[in-house]
Parts: sequence; structure tokens; C-alpha cells
Amino acid sequence: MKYANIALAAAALSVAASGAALGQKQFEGIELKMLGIGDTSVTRLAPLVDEFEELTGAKVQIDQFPYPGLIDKIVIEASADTPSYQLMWVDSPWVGVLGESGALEDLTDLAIRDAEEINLDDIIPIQLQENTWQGRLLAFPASGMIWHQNYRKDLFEHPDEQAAFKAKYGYDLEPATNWEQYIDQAEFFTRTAGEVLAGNVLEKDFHGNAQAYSRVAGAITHDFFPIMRSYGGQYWDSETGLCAMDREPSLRAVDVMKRLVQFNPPDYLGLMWDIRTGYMERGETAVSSYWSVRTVRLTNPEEALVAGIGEVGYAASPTGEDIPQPTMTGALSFGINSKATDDEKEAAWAFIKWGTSREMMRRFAEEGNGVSMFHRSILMDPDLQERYPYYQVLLDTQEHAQRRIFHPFYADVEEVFGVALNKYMAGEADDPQAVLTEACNKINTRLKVFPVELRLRWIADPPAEIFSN
Amino acid sequence: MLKPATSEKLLCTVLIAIALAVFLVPIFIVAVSSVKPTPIMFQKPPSFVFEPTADHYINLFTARPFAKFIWNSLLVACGSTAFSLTFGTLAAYAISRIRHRRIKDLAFWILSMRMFPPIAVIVPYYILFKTAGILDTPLALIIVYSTVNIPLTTWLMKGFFDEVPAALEEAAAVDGHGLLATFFWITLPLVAPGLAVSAVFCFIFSWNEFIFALMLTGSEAQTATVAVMSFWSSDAVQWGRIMAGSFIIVIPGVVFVLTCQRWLVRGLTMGSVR
Repeated sequence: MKYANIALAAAALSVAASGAALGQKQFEGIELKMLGIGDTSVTRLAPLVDEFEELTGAKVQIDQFPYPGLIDKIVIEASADTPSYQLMWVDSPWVGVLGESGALEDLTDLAIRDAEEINLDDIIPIQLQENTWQGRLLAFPASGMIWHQNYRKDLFEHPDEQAAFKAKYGYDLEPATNWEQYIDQAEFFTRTAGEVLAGNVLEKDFHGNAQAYSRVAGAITHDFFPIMRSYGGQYWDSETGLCAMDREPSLRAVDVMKRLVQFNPPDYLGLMWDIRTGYMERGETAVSSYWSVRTVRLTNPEEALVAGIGEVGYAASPTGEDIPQPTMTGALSFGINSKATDDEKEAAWAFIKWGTSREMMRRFAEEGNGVSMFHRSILMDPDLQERYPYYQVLLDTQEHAQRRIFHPFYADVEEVFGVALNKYMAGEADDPQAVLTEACNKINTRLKVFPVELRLRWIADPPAEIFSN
Repeated sequence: MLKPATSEKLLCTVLIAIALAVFLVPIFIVAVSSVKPTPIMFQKPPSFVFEPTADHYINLFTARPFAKFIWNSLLVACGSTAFSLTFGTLAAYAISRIRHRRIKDLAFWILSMRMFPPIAVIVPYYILFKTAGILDTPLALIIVYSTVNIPLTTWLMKGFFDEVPAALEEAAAVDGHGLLATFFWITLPLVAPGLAVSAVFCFIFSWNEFIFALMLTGSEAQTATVAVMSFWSSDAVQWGRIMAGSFIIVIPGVVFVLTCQRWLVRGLTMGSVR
């Protein structure tokens, strides 16, 4: 295998060299289109694609589509024998659906072949694992995500607040390491207009916490699952492949979210992704946990008022008491349409290598463009760490993170649990066990039509084969 | 006719004001949000006094070719409306005038075209258009929207044609007019309000449609509705741009409806009193 790879690399180099000798670029005449999105992983890269054409001769066009419906468009696109799009933007939970439908090209061999060129050893392993299906690499990370907490550091370090907190709760005011502390802090910082916060009289209510409780696009499940996982919960039963999200860890997670409701803004049921993160960005909440792709905004005064109001601190996501569990990761990635021609695939892989390279990521960081990083060397860079104080947290948490849900029925889980949890948080249901069981039953009804062997295969997560080489 | 009492007038005014508020407040929020700086977009309580910004509009047209997407929407909406009115009106006239025992079945079959859930036909459409080489072109959307709009137009116009007395057409025939001349110069002007109503419905559907436009277009034929939603990504929803785009999208629909308003009111009430 090793010799075959060397021979393949040598052949590729000789082809490239002969092309160069003729003054022809390697992928001259090839046109690539990316089925993309208006995500930072794409929008930062889109203005630079001419540089790729200059380097390789391949012309790249990036089309941007809405996130809702994009996965359906990818699946439909993969159903055509002659694809319109050779490159696909992929959210890591989609690898189950896309892997099972055969929509994406297997990148394992390509990644092994070019391991040195893509600095494979420098990429945090969970970001690669996040893009695998049945151990095979189906997409390559363009932006790494990690779930963690952001807090108002200026408030946490204020002497009056520190003293008052210690007097009330009996321990120091520091970033929460477990959910009980997190709830204490949310309660402590919840103040009404006229009260004093860090020596200033508040003009309007201040919210201790801002989490997502909206059912839109399953936003509430994005907050629920990390808490469930932090209590040791699992998505699926390892014996049957059926829903396991109605067990003790899930109940504890529901309890945490329910207790946090009173410390959230009054419109908590409508808080979805960036409406929720907006509270921290405006400096209107003390603590909030979410994906690092939004954290990158917090140091930019043009995107976040909080940068001019106070200071944001960053810490790992809290865990259940006494049972520390690693937090949850995700990845926004690029993949290749399995129906593309061999030449197009090779050019598309060259584009992925170029667009996700360590050099490109460093360039984004140095130019001030926030992308959630996944190369160790960038996250460890002292100069960049000083500029982006959350880098150390991203590094530490990603090293020990768990993979996000990747089941082919992921969308069903988000939809069913999104509605069920939202109803419970709204007070439309009283019994959390009944709510979770009913949601699980709905998922199981859809899963039970498939044989157990298939269900078990869907939840299997063998280590990416790129690591074995 | 009795003159309404002052209290009745007041009640009417209040009810109209409430109805107006229900319909106009969302548009007001969209308009205000389209010029509101991003950091205070979702501030609670919402701020109505702020320094307006044109950034969202500028970004809307510079981040992506939004003018082209509006042009695509206009092309598709007008094309589909014209196509549907032409064929829907002819079909309706035929169904209204032809006496045949299976004509009702034919009319129902045309109506059944509207009963497909879009998602069920998207993949076949995709493959058909891909094979025909018209995927990601306005023509593909004009065809798809017409399959939805023609049945609507047919059924709407059939009602209007039924209202036109056959004696008028018989008189025209006696005067020597052929079938086409009678249709174009006698019957069609009488159902002009129906054409206006059908045109408005066809245009609004084609202008607002999202699912087909998302699945069957790329960057060449992308419509404004899809382009606006494309500011919803995985890591951020660019609400400012979405609001700016939404406000712009509202305008052509309003202009079109206002243009047709004179015939629209007549068309919507025609036949209600015999």
C-alpha cells in the first residue's frame, strides 16, 4: 500500500511537471462549482478563488444557498449522473445521510496520499473523525467547531460581585466547571432594572444566562445534547441501535435547561442560534454556551458591542458533577461529489487542500477573519493566542471532545426532540420522562422498520482509517 | 340606505385600524430592521430611535449579485404569468363552452395538477431539466410554475366564462365573426377582471415560490427569495441583509397588485350578485 501511494504520488508529480514544462497548468480547462453556503468557511474563501485558478488553472465558482434545504439539494444533486456541482459544503452531522446515499467521494486514500502536504498530523484528530462515515473520510474540515462557554470576564472579576457571590454560594466566582455552578452563576447575575451590577445601576434587566430554547431548526437540541453528553448520556442504545435519549442523563439535562429558564430573557422560547448569541454579543448576559463559530465574533467591536462594553472570557463547557465528560464537537467541511469525473475529483481535492490548508487558515487569522480553527500549530501560536484569547480553550477542548450526532436520522432527531423539548420548556408538558419517552418512541417507530444489523452499523463509529496509516 | 351611527363608524374605524396593524406591523418591522445596525438588531426592548444605516442594502447588493436575482425573479414571474394566462384562459374557454360528457373529468384532471406535493416531483423535474440542459435557467422555473398556475387560471377563468351569456357570442357569429374573432374581441374583454385576478395570483405565487427555486437553480437563475434566504447560514443568520432583501422583494408584488387593482376589485366581486 505504501509503495502504491509513493508510485501514485510520483506519477501525479510527473504529470504536473510535464504540464509545467509545457507552460500548462495542472488543471487547465477544468471548471468546478461548489454547492456552498454563506458561512464564514465559504465567504472568507470565495473572494480568493482566483488565486487558486492562477495556481492550478482550474476555475472555481462558489454558489451560495440557504442552510435550510441545502442537504436535500446535495442529495438531489448526487442523484444526477452528470453533476452540476463537483464540490459540496458539508455540515458534519450530515455525513450519515450523505454517506449512506453515496453522495460523497471517499477522501481517505487522497488524505493518506497527501498527508504531508495537508499537515495531517497538525489537524486535531476529532475534526477528521467528525467527517467520517464507517471509518472513511467523506469531507475535510474547513472550520472546526467546539461547544464551550463564554462569560462576562469583567463581571466575574469585579471585586463586589466576587464578594457577593462567595457570600451567597460559599465558593469563588470562577468559570463554571459543572452545571450546578453554571445555574448558580445564572441566578446570581440575573438582575432587574434599577439594581446594581458591577458598581453600575442597570437601566434595563440583565439576564444571567442566554441559551437556545427555540424549536426552529432544532436550535434547542444544540443546547440540550452537549448537556446530555456531559452527564454521560448517549444518543443510541448500543445493543439495539434505538433511541436512548430518554434515560437518566437526558432527564438531568432537561432539568438543567428547565432550571435555567427563569434566568433567561423573557423571549427564551424564540432564542435560536444567533438571536441567543446576540445577548452575549451585546453584553446583555453573564454566561452563555454555544458553538465556537460564533465566538469568533466576540473580539470584533464591529460585530459585537460587548467588545466595547466589557470583556468576554472563554472556558470549557461545564460537565455533570463528579462525572467529567468531554464536550461536543462539530465541523463545517468540504466534500467532493462522488459523480464527478476523475479529473474533476482530482482538481476538487486540490481545491480542498488549498482552501483548508494551514497556510490559508493562518492567513485568515492574521487578516482578522474569524474562522474557528482546527490546526494545533495555529491554536498554539502565542501571537495569535494573544489576539484571539479563546484559542487556548478551543485547543484544550477539541483535544478531548466527543463526536456530534451523525446518524442518518439526525434531521428527524432534531425535529422531534426540538418540538418535544420546546413544549416542555414552555410549560405545555409537565412530565419530562413522558416527553423524552414519547420523542424516543417517535424516532424508534421510524427506525424499527430497519433490521437491527443496519441500525447498529449506523451508530458505529470506527476510528478513521487515515489514522491507521 | 340608513346612515351608520357614530358608534358604528367608530367601531369600523377601530376594526380597520386593528386589521391594518396586523398586516402592516410585520412590514414595518422588516423596513425598520433593514436600516437598523446589526449589534442592536434584537435588542430588548426594541429600539426605534437609532442612527439608520444603509449597510444592509449595500451589503445585499455587493456581497452577492442581488440585482441579477431580482431580474431572475421578475423574468420567471412575468414569464410564468404570461404563459399561464395564455394557456389557462384558452383551456378555460374550451371547458366552459364545449359540451361533452367527459369534460368535467378533464377539468378535474387539470385541477389535480395542483394536488402534487412539490417535494414529490422535484427529483423527476431535476433529472428532466438536467437532461434537457435547462437546469439553472429561468425557463425551467417558468415551466414548473406554469404547471401550478395553469390549473388555477383554468378554474378561475372557467367561472368568468360561464358568466358571459352565450347569446353574445351567437350574435357575433350572426354578424359574421369567426370563433377566434369572437373570443378575442367579444368574450375576452368581458372577462378582463378575471384575467387581472388570475394574473395577480400567478404572479404572486411565482414571485414568492421557494422550494422549486432552491432545488432547480444555481447561481445563474437563482431567484430573489432563495438569494435572501441564502443569508441564513450555519454559523450566522444575516438578519440585516435578509430584512433589506425582504423589503425589496415586497415592492414589485405591491406595485403589480396596485396596477391591477382597478380590475381586481371588480373581478373578485363579479358574479357575487346576479
